[in-house]
Amino acid sequence: MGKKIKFILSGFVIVSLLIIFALPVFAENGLGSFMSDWGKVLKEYAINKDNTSSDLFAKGNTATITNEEVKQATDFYILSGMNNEEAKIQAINYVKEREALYEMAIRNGYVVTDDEVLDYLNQLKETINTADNKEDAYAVMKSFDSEQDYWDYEFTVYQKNLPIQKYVESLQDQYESKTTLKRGTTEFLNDFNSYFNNYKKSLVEAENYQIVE
Amino acid sequence: MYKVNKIIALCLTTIMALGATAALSPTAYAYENNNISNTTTKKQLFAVPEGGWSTITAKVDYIEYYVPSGSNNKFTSRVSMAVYKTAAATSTPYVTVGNVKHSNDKAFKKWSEISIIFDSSKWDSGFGKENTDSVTYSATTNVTGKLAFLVSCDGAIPATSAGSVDLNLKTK
Repeated sequence: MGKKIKFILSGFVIVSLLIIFALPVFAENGLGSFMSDWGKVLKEYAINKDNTSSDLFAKGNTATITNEEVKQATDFYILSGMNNEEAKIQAINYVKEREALYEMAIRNGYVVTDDEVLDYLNQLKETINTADNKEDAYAVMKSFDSEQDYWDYEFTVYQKNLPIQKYVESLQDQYESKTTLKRGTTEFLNDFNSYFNNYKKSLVEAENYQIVE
Repeated sequence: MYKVNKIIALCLTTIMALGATAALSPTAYAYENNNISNTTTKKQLFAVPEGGWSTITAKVDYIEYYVPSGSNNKFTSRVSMAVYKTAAATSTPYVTVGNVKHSNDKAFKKWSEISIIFDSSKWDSGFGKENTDSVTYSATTNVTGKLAFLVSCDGAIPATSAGSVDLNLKTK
């Protein structure tokens, strides 16, 4: 009886130790696995961007959304844990907002040259190499055939993202000048985010996107 | 009955006297020229659906102010400050600073906003908070303080990443 109890207790201790040390590794591997899978998704879309012209998913008054853009964003949300239906809804909303913001950025003069995009990517490389979670970015990069292929793809992403970034910064500056709240405080951020979310919705409404059959 | 009334009157008089004394006493301000501080910088990448990264670089400071008193230190207040720079398109990262907790489980939960000055050529935003609860520890204490914070980006992966600034409260 005594031997049985010792055996059971030893087994319990071993299993507990395995769980304690394995769980953090699993959690780390969870995010690492997302980044690696995300890299594979991006690589496929990078290849398709070069080889084929994307069919339109929806047309707005000025903005257009391609099927590829919707599929890529859908894959992101599926990888993050959403089911297919939720992921597609979230993806469509996201892409509608991004494209509407891009159109507004261009309309407000936030056009960028190729050199500006390249300069930005050089800064982004530096940021990535010194980030606390640089391994996440490396996991995405490793999925591409070469680091250059990865940065060639990011060039196409930031041709659109950089004008949007500059425009959003200007929106924050404008908002700061109209509020008594101090920039950087939680109250300011909550207020601005609420304003920005409503603003994005109004841009999407104004685009009046029509799904292309 | 007379004795009970006498006792009640005595209690009321004592309470009123104490109240008057407290109200009329000058407020004593300790001259705080001692502090312990630490800082940490967290640089985080957030993956976003269009294939790029939202980024944040956050510098968080934690300061404990104290007044020496014999072999003890009276920690009279503490300050947290955060400055940060972001790069993002559709969803901007942000910093949330939590409460300070000492390793003896003393938690400091009441904070008021303070003004801070930062270099706007280096940082986009900044904020500070102060707590004025007093605690006294031996100057050789093993108690440490921890200021926890989060960097977050809504709709990105990871959504949040935690950081902390730690302080050893021993001064001798």
